Amino acid sequence: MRKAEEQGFREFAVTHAASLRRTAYLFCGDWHTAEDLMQQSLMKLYQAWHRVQQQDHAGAYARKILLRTWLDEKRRPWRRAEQRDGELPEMADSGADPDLVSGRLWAKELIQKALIKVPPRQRAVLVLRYFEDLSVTDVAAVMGCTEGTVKSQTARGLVALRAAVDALENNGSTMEREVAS
Amino acid sequence: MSEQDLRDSLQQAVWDEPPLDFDPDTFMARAEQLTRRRRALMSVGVATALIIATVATLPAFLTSGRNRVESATGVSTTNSASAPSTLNFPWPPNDVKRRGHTYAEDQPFLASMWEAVLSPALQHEGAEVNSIGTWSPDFQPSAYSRDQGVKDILMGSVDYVGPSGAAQLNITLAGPGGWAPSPEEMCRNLPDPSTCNAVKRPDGSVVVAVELGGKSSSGSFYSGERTVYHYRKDGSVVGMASRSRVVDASGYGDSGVPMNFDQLTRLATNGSITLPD
Repeated sequence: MRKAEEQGFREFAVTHAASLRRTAYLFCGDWHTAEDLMQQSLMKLYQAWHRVQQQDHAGAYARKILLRTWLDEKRRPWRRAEQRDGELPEMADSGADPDLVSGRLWAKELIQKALIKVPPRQRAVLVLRYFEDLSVTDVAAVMGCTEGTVKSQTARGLVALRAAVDALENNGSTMEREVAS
Repeated sequence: MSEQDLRDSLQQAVWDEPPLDFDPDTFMARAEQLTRRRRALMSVGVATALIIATVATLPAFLTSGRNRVESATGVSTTNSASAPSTLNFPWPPNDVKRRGHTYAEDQPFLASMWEAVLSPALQHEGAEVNSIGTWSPDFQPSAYSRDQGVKDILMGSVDYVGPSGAAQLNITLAGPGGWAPSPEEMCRNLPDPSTCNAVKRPDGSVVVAVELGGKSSSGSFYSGERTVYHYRKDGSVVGMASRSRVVDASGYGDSGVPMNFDQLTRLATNGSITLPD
């Protein structure tokens, strides 16, 4: 890789590493795995950088690599057996507003637990559309499918997510009632 | 949960992300190291493949000379400019009587010939048993037919998979007197680039071995075809043409012609492969 290309890639990596890791986290629900996915994706992007930078859509290409890396990772036998049903650790922040922190933690736990229950490709569509704010066309390009498929996957993903959120909220209400009685 | 709620929730889901431990210098060094290692691995792989290919193809290359049909009385030409004229093989024979054929009448004979002779012969030349397709020949007008009114030229092809991959054998059976061009004319009228060898056999018949083409005009695919015509003494002709059926995005693949002249000659000179009397 030439010096100019290397410098270009370095700038891209520094600028996009954090956002790629966030997206990876919403895909997989685990910061450590997200870090690995981000590193692997950037490594793959490095191999293809001389082609990518000419096309001027390195961000979209990086997301595409990230998505495929995650889907590939999910297919590995040792990942299939993995269950994420443990309790999330609470994080203390003495400077934060307790009410705000409590609300955020509730939202985080709720959305994270619910999102994990949505099938992977539907989850990916939801993250790309509502977290990355990509258009249907851009999501289709990242997913490598048609716009119609993106729309249908979005609709199904939303239904699955709402059902998961409702189920979690109902469980929470039941537990609260049991504690109160 | 509305779409806006989902957007907000997703943003809140990552609010407590741990600090990013990303050192670009370390990353770039590792990436460069992996790239070098990958290149070295690819070089080793390519070298290994080259060695294997050389070992595998060397015997075939050393024996490729056998493909030529050689004889003291043979004549040959490499293009249409020079035509052989020393065979002393009058064509077409004057004393043969042509007979019209219909596929319906000949079908039982052809079916039994396929079962007993053609299909086993094809297997003997390397076709995988279960890969051999159907042979559905038909009597059809040919540019070489002397009189289109008499149908005595049967043509048909069969697909199969041989040692070099997907292949096709085109079979031509011309009844006595039906095939117009003489061996000399066959060799004279071929398009460039081509090679043609006409050889008189000890039994008085003539074998014409033709190789057509090579790379297409654009050079993108191999369009070659190798054919052996057996001009029999009774005035009939049996032709066996071999070509690759490996197709890629640009057309036929560059896998060469599946059968050599020895194989095609064995098929074309098989006396049991013929039209019914």
